[in-house]
Amino acid sequence: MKGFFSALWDNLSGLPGNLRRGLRPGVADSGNSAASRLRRSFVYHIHPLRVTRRALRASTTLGLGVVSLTAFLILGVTGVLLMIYYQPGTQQAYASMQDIQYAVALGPFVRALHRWAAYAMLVSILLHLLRVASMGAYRGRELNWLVGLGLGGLALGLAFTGYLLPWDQRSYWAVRVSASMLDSVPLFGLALKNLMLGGQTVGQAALLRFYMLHVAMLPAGMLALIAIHLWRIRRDGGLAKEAGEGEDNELVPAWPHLVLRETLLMLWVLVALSAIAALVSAPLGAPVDVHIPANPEKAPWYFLWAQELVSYSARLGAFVIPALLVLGLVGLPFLDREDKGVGRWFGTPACRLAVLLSGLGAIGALLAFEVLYMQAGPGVFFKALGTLWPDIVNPGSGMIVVAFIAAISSGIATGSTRAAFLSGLVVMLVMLLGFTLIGVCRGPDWVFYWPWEGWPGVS
Amino acid sequence: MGNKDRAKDKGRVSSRRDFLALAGNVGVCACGLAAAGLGARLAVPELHDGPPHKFPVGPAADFVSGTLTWIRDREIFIVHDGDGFGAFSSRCTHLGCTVKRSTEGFYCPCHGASYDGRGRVMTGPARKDLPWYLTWVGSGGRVWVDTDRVVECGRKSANKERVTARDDEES
Repeated sequence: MKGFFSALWDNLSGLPGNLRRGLRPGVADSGNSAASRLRRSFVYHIHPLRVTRRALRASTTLGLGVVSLTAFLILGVTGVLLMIYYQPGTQQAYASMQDIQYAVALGPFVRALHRWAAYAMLVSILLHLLRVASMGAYRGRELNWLVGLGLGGLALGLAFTGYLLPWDQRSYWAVRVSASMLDSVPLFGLALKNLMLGGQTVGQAALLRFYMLHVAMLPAGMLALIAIHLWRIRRDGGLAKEAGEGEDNELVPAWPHLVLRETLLMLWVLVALSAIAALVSAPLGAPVDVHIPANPEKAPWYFLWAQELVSYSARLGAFVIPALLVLGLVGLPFLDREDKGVGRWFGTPACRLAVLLSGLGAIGALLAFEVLYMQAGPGVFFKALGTLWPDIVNPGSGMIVVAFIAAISSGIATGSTRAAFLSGLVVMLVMLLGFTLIGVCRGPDWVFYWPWEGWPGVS
Repeated sequence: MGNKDRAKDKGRVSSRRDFLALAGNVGVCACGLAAAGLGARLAVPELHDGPPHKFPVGPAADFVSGTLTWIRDREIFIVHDGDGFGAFSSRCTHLGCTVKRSTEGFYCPCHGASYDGRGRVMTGPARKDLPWYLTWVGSGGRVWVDTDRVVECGRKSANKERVTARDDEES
């Protein structure tokens, strides 16, 4: 009896110290060195003990990976908050969105933050991919490049599935059109469509499937791939760089140099997105009409290039060009194995020049296509070429040809595989950006209007 | 087998241990793929919701001769003239948006395809004409459409034409 009470008394009186030692194991005995700080913390242990001075410079990576990770975390938190009110039913979804928008405290802010964080994640992932490609930083990091592409794909999937959930006019028609696009995909198209919609039409089954994908399957996949992605950075020896000595390769402790910079960047991303979300809310579209689309019915900006491309040819825009892009990106680290210029923006000076000229060429080609298109009036490609040829001759396939020419000529001129593939990639991206801008200018009946021109009244 | 021997063997799948390890890995991957396949099988719907493909659109007397009527819920047009009743889809054959009437025929707001008054492609990304469906007047005097049976462009059911018993499921 006595032994029990005295032991209990000792434990209670020793509680403050035991709490400290128990919840922060290793504090007492490992000192306060930079290394021990990293080792004893779950959050910090993903860092290496030391990093190069070069890795700390903002111009090396622009911190784009950290930005996209921060956006993902914000999306997780705001997404769970939105789940408290959102109901994935065709009858309830729109009304629950109206509740969030008009009746829930902080609802509009949380929803706007979710949307802006989604945009930030898409943009930062794209720029991150560009940064890694332009530096040839996939050299010796083939697996992590593929994991990164997987993350990009999942992010697009999350954007697409989340788009349907409000069940408003825009989201319904975007998904109905996208589902039809799967008809153009050979072999797996129909099975994929059936699997995605859970039926023939975009209805309750489709909404529930999109919800499941958006809140469970895709985020879980993303978490798993993020874990592998971060782990591989350390396993692959940190940031890619050209071999050689220099002041830049001097090692400094990750604590506090790297940890501090990352934390500050994350805070700034949070502050910036919160400020934008507080100022610019996320609008809710018109209630759905499942039989009549609005005019024009536009895809979200990150898929506008695809909408513009399918307005030339469904087969090309929905299947050929996305498939070529994916194939090219997956194959990149295996087709280019040059070590020269790794870790520098757009590699060697010759490579930089080739990419610059290709980018300018892409702008020129885009303008030429558009002038031709505008001069002849919409539908020129269809009127002139009958019904089969427009699938083969159109601005979309023109883009592939220009990218191919740019890649081959850059490769021959510089003798570098990196210059070749970067030139092709830059041509594609510049022209896809161009198609996006043209898509922005599309008005009723998918007719082109300059931003300063008004749209005619819609019947 | 000593460490040196093992090092020498590196790169060849020669030892029993290597073979078993490989077989184990292949087995685990195969089981994983099979499980994923079973999961995907669950997601393939066995039951399909949605409206029936053979349906009446209204009493024949309600359609004024010489007019075009849009049946909203079915997304089809019904034409009625001296030749009888015809039906064709209002879904753009490009990517499935609902076409709207224009001065020349029909126009798709989503990607700009255009069709003539009988649903044949004029311009735009659409490659196929709007499909026409089999129509008939049932014994109860209602106009019926079967969207599973595509007919040639412009085909109409004759007014007097009485249908076979197989099609007449009205009564």
